[in-house]
Amino acid sequence: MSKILQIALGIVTSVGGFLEAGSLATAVQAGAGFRYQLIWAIVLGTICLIFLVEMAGRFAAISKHTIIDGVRERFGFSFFVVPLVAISMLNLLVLAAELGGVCIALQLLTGWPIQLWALPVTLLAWLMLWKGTFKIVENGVAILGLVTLCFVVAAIILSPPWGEVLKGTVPTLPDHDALKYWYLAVAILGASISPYLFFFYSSGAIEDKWNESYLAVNRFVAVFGMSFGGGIAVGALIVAAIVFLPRGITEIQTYDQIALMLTPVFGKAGFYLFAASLGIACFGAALELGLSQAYMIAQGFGWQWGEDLPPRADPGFSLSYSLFIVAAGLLILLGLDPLALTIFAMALTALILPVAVVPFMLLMNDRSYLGDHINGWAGNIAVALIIGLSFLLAVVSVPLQIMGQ
Amino acid sequence: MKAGLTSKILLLAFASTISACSGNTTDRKLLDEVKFFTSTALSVKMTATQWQADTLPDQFARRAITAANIELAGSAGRAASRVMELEVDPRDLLSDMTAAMTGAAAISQAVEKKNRAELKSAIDALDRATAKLRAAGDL
Repeated sequence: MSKILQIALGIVTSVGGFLEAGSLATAVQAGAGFRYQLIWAIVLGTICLIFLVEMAGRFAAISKHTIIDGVRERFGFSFFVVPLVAISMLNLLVLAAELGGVCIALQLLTGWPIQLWALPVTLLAWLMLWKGTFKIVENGVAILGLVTLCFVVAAIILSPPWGEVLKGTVPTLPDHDALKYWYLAVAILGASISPYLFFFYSSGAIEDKWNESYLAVNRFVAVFGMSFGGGIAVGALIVAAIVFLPRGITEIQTYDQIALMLTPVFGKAGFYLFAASLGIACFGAALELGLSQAYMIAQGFGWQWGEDLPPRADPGFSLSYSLFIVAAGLLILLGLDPLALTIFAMALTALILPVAVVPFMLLMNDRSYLGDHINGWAGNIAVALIIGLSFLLAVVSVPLQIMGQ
Repeated sequence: MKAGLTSKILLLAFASTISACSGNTTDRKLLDEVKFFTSTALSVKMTATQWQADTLPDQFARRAITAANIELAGSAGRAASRVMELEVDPRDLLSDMTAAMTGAAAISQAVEKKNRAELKSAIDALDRATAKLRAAGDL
């Protein structure tokens, strides 16, 4: 495949796969509660994700290691257990939130309860991973995910005051609900910089057998794919700000409320577009999360792994995603509120980010893995600042939010 | 310069968070509850008006409005328990919440019966009550 085609496909799949339950829910809550004031958090999170995704691809292409391989090899297994446990717990919550998002989409379409959908959705996700190939997971669902561009189209049709939107890219203090503002900022950062995204990306680069010639493709995909993807989240925030805030709907607590956001623009088609966007985006994220978790466990324990291998060739890998998906499905079956779970999981992500990112950053500065392709100062400083900021805000706002509840 | 900006943002975040948490807890929780209640009531209104304009499927409108009515009842109950702890007279607040609940329940019945004439007067009633609640909660 020509490099230009690879770049185009990479950007398209990145855009289609960007939005998921976390980024949608946090963007809508931010727009409804604080108009355009929290756009800066999406921008900051997207910038950080661009750097991390580019690094993940570069690391895989040059060192021929995934991030997990590198961390385990460089720091030893006993150190690796810490991020493994922390990220696995987080991934479980996020996966439950994504499966819950698919169930909600189906509930919107049929009226049948979420719990009724938990089992079929879990089974379908497992089946896709069991029978599917990496290309199907990576490209198939992500291309369908382009339906989420409807949020950008809606935002443009609603023609927001672009000057105010632009002002929202600069951090400002809230004039009300300070605790909620910072908690949402943390949740947005967590939703944008989910560790599973760059772990999945680095494993994908190995599955696709990347080498040094892919560095340009990697850079283009990281910059343009993630930027356009972040644009979808900004689009959702703008629509929420224009549709909900003037109607006095400032507290978004259920997906039933969010489901109304596109109908003022597209009429009844907007309702179905929303359901399709939520369902497809969450299903794609659920598959990526299931695989990302299995990659982490299999690579951490040194097992055979690969989505393109038949399950009998990598039983540990296949068992990992199977058990993980079932466990997440059970959380939804037990009746956990998917929206509350989503926001909490995203805020928790920001708290756990340093555990995932710091060892990775050390690897990215290790010449024994990357030779002359180690990080420059810009990448190091940007990622360190954003991760540090997310962590400190999370340390303050997450406990206060929990106490406030 | 970036480090300076970061520490400034952090300091401001800490300060505003602490200030947000240092007020009268019962007052704040009551206002939060009123805000949630009003937002839910206005979501009922939006769902009803969108359904009236034929932009939502019947099954969704029925289910969403029924679920929101349950939320409203729960929220009103929580608000009432907070009110017991207050020294000020909150009777107006509770009476507005009751009026909003009556309006939301009437919307639910109108959507169930697909009675658009009844829906309009129910939406008006809900509107009047939520307008007062929004003013009370400075929403």
